[in-house]
Amino acid sequence: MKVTIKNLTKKFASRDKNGEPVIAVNNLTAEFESGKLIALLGPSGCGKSTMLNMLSGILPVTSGKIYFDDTDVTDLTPDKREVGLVFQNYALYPHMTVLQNICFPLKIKKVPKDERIARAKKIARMVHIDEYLNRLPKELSGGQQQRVAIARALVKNPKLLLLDEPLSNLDAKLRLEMREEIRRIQRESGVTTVFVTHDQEEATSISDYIVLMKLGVMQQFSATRDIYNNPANLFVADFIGNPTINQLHGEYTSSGFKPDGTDEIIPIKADVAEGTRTILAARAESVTFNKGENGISAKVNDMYSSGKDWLLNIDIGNNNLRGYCDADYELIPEEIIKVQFKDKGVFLFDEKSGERYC
Amino acid sequence: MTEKKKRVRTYKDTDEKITAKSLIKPFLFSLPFMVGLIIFTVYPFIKAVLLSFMENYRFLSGKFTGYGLGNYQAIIADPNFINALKSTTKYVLIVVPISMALSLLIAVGLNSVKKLQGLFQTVYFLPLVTSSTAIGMIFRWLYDYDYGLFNYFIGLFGIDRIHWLADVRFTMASICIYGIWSMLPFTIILLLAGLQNIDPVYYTAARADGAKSRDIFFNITIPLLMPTIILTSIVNMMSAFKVYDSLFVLYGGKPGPAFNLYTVIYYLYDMFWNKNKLGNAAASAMVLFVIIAVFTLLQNLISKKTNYYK
Amino acid sequence: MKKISAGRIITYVLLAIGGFIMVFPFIWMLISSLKTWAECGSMPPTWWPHNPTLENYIYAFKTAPFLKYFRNSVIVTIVCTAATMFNTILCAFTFSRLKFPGRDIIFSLMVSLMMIPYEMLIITNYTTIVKMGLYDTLVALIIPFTSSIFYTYILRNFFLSIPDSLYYSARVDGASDWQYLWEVMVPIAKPSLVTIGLLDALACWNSFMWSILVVGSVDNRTLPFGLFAFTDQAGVRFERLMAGSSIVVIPVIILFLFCRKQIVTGVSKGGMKG
Repeated sequence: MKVTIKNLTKKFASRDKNGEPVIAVNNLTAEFESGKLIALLGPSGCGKSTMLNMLSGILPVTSGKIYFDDTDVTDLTPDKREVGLVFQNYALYPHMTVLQNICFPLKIKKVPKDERIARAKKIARMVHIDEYLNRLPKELSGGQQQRVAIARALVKNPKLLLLDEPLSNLDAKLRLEMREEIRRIQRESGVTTVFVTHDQEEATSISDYIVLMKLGVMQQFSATRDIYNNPANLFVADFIGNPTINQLHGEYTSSGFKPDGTDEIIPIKADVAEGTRTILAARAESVTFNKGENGISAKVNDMYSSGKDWLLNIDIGNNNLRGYCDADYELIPEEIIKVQFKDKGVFLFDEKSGERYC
Repeated sequence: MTEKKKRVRTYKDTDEKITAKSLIKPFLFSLPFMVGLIIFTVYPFIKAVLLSFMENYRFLSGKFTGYGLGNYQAIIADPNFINALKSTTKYVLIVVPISMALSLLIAVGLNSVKKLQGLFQTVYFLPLVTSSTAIGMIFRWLYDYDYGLFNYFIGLFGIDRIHWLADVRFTMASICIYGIWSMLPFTIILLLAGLQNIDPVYYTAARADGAKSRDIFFNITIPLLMPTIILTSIVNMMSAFKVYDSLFVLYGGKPGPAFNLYTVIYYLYDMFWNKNKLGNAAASAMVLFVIIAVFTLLQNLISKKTNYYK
Repeated sequence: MKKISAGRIITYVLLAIGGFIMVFPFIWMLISSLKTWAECGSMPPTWWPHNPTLENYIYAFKTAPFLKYFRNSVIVTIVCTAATMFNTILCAFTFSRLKFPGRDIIFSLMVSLMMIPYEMLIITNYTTIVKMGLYDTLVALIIPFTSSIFYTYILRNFFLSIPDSLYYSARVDGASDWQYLWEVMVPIAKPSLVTIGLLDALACWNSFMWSILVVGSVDNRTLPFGLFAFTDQAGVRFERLMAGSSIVVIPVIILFLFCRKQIVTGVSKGGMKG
């Protein structure tokens, strides 16, 4: 099912410290393709959970419309929206067994008992929880509880599956396992899925599309690969990617970008007035080093490992940055080396507004 | 399209609009409760307050001559009412401290033993659940002049038989014995709960510091239990102030010899039921209400101030 | 072998003596009820009936309609408790889960009504019952007591402790408020509900003064009133009065033996609120 969101806005009566009403979601428009996995991503307080709650109908909207395919569902209560919802704490009914939990939505729909159980068992097999049907939620591990919650959300064949921070209550190892599971289950069921997360790695690793939000405003909505390779603004470039993108402050000149604290220039072309304060952002993998003559001079500080890769920490003028180097790189602290930037993964932003120039 | 500023009231937390339709559900859900509450609590309360100020109220016609303090003047001038206040206060001041002290000992004892907890609990808490009518009946039997066990026991020590329920010198003692006995279970339960709320860490720490059992009791248990002790005392004072049911049975519905068992509630019932002086009954009810209200406020104040745990 | 300290033994002995004092009146009630008139009136008293007899019970059931009292008590207790629970559940739900302006203010007003002594209300309640034409009916013993703020207060606190996410889950699962209440909240609150129900049933069973006011005929008496009235018939025959008392007390003792834990927790939870 396709989800269309038009000019969606949510204001709360509570006020921020400047006395302005809190706008949790501000005039957001997007269209989610059917059968895709969409991540609502952003730091805490960005309005992503508010978005999810409006999609499920838990929160009424202030203005704007939500359509499921061509049906306007904006004013429908949660029970009439045919969505499945998984909470961060799973919200399993503590007094019901796994099977009863999964059956509950069907029981409410008055599906005959035999059919109910058959459907519940089928879903339970799909999420690999069929061994524990007669247990109570408290007898299950976190990962198992989550599988039950997903099964309960899926059993009624919802048009839309909503997951609220589905992985944040799990330990690191289980988190990796469950995120692949969510991807698998989503593929197998083919249901359009929206999940909320504050973890950019989680979002980029399993979603088809990402909606990145900040203070209620959508910063970018695009395919997951594009959001990394083609960020709309500095906030997006900064939020997505690990290690965090390098940021060099400086000035745009006719011949390129001049970082603060050096007279050398990084050649880059953009449609900007000369003398504009800008930020050159470069992914770690777009920074290359050589001990020859090509590129801009930099002073070596240190070198350290991030798992399988090695990062070299250097200074260009007043700016500090990191780039990948070989494990056998010969480190000489304070050595002056040359740095070059690739075309891909290097962007120029306005220093103040974060607007992207190239 | 011009944007008109319409004031729509909304809920603070979700910004949900308040519509008449959204009010129907809470109204219907609470309706059965509210109907009962209004008819049998709110209305009679207001009525009683008004009634206490109505002069010369006639029960049958519902007529009265005006508002004033006549009823209050009447009960203050009524020696029976003053007597009732006095004997109720005396009863409260005897029964509450003694039963608190006994309960504290028993509760500490119960808290310290592991075996037979269930049996002890059953035994100690039994009076709590049994009908005060039946208990009153049993005590009447125990207090019987000719064949009662109380007189048998004091006879063993060579003391003469006592008219427990008829001799003016002993009636207060006999109702106090009965009152203490029946107050114990409730008090023990509350103190026991308070004791079990004390974090064992304090005991372990005290023991590590070399404290003896007696030091622990006076320096840790009692201070930490103090809020519970105070609150339980207040609750008990309120319930002791309302003593009536049990005396009613103990004395077969009569106020005791020389009216010395006339409590405030006894007075209230007597004015209302036997003498048909509704104004006086309402005025005495107001006095009772004020006393209970003061205790309640005190209780709330203290329980807010002394919340060590949480 | 574990060493048992002298202090521990003393504690046990003192607790046993205290316990005996607490339970003795009931034992004495049962013993006396099994005695003949002659034995009951003998000095020194006998500690065990020579010829245990059910005569007094038969007398009680014959001369006074104890069976009818019993039936009335059962009806009043069951109906009153059921109605109270129903009202309490709905009201606690209204004030914990539903939304309406002024909800919390209204509730604190209700809580403050708890300090009104019940005796203050009887004057008007009696008139109300008479006006409603309910004087001398079992209904009169039930309807004034079906709205308990105290139980609602306890249950509301419990309901508030149930996470919101459970409610939203149920709503998304298609449940209405009504279904959520009965399918999810009530089963989860079962321990609290059992406690409240037991406390209320005990209060109904033992309720006495009100029934004297609003019940006139023998047919509508409940056990405590019946027992009180029995003194007129049995006179000073204490073996008979003790048999009557036993009839009132024994069902409650049996209930207490089975549900001690719930009752005790209920009392300790609620005690501080008066």
